[in-house]
Amino acid sequence: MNTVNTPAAARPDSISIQGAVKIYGSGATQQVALNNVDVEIERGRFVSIIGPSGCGKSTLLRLIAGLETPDAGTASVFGVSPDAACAAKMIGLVPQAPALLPWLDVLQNVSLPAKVNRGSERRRKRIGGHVEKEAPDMSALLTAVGLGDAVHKLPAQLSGGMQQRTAIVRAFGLQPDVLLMDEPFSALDEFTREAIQGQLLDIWDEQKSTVVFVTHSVTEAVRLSDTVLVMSARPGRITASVDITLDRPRSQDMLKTPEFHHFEDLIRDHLQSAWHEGPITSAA
Amino acid sequence: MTSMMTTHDTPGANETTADGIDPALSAPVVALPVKTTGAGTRSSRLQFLKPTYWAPVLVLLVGLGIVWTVVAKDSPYLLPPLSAVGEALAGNPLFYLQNAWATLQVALIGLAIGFVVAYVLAILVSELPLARRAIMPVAVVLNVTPLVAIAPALVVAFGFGPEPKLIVTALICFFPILIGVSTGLRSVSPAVLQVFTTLHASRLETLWHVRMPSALPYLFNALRIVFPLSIIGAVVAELAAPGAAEGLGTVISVASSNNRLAVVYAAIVCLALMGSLLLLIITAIENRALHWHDSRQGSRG
Repeated sequence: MNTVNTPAAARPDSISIQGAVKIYGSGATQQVALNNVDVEIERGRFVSIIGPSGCGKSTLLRLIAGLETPDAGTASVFGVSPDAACAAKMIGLVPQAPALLPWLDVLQNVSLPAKVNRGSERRRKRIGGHVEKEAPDMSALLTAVGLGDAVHKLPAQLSGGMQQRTAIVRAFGLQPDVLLMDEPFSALDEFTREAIQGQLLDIWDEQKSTVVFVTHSVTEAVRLSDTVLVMSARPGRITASVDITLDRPRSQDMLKTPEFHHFEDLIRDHLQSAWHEGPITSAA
Repeated sequence: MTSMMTTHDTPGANETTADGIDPALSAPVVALPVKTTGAGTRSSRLQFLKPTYWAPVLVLLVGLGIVWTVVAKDSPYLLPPLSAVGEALAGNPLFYLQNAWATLQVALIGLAIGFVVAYVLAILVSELPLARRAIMPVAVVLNVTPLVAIAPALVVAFGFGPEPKLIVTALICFFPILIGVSTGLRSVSPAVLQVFTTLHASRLETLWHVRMPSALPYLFNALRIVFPLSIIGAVVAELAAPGAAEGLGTVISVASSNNRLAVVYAAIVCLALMGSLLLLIITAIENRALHWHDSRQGSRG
């Protein structure tokens, strides 16, 4: 892991990706998922990554999660390698599917992460970039997202939205320094999606985690984020970085305001120019 | 049981269960039988009382009984009269109980040995690719080898004691459990594994908290095959060791050499009842242990 985490790249107060290259396959089928990508995400920011399918946004997220190692370049999470950050349980992951364990009820599901990798406490303390927080009351957290009545239900007894909320609470429950979310609401209907966005913002506001949020919804990106990174495909690269200066808290009503539409249009323009810049074959 | 009830009472829970088995669950060798809504629900409990439920099988049994009786009347050396089979059972119930118990002991101990070995190997095989490449070909060849043929050799080697019987039974039970569990251990979705990877859960923790529970449905499907199989294994071994002291297999081989057909069939009835009983027990345990799996069939998510 030392090759990934050179001292120059290790900044204790940000997630830092520098010159990251990731190539899948070889020869004719070779695909450049990430081409020389630089990202700097400061602590406490909510950053969304948006782009067309196959632009490498999930790869970028997996790089931060330590699930992939870059073929070139460096990745560091608050001063340490992604792998060391995982070992210290500094990273919470919410995948696209809720990925709950069907034999555990909601409370058991969200409590399980605390039961594995018990050495993480020790490792956390040794990492300078880590900010120690008290372990949250899981029942209270579940109640906060409207799952108070469902704590003893099995995942199969929940709706898709409730399952995804459970997965979010599971990730937040560790008080991770960074929360990585990979299109977590893409399978939900519009109404549920907007309601859960609000709840996510509420918890985030309280917990002050750093969030990296992959999405392909412009509205979602604008509502949630401090910064939106626009990516383009083949090769995967970041083509624009848009700071969303809308006031918080951002209610559902804000979605109708002209300021909100201004940012949506801005990002759509960036996405379209990114689309035209990319090769025609990228029709996905 | 309460949780099972509520599970089935949720809307949607009853819709897909008839054939709503996850396609990902069909293991290559151990074909997963479709889980019926059956066992736990109130409606199916009452179904047992309805004539439409029990009448068809009753009619079939009566029909078969009549055919049997007619054949037995014309040629008593082909089939013994049912009354004679009944008399044999009623005349000396202790004799059959003792021998059934001897066979059952062999079956269950053999099954336990096969289970432990297969489970440990399944974990090895699913965790270490090298072990997989070494063990699986041998296991497959072992599986296609007719164990009826191995039994006499084992009797020669180990004599008329319990050893050859236990080995045959364990061998017969071994393969379905190995395949079922090793498939189940690897059935965890990539998303779940990614969550536990980012938590840096150790392999042992992932095995205990994620993989082993995930393998339970596969394990129970294997057990439902293997419980009745264990009786077959025990009887095959007993038949191959004609000098053995007791066991229903010995009863059959002794009685058939004496042309006592009624006793043979009485022993067969005992074996069929034992197999059914074991199947019933394992299914009942499964319905308790896998209520979450049942309910997943009716998932709305």
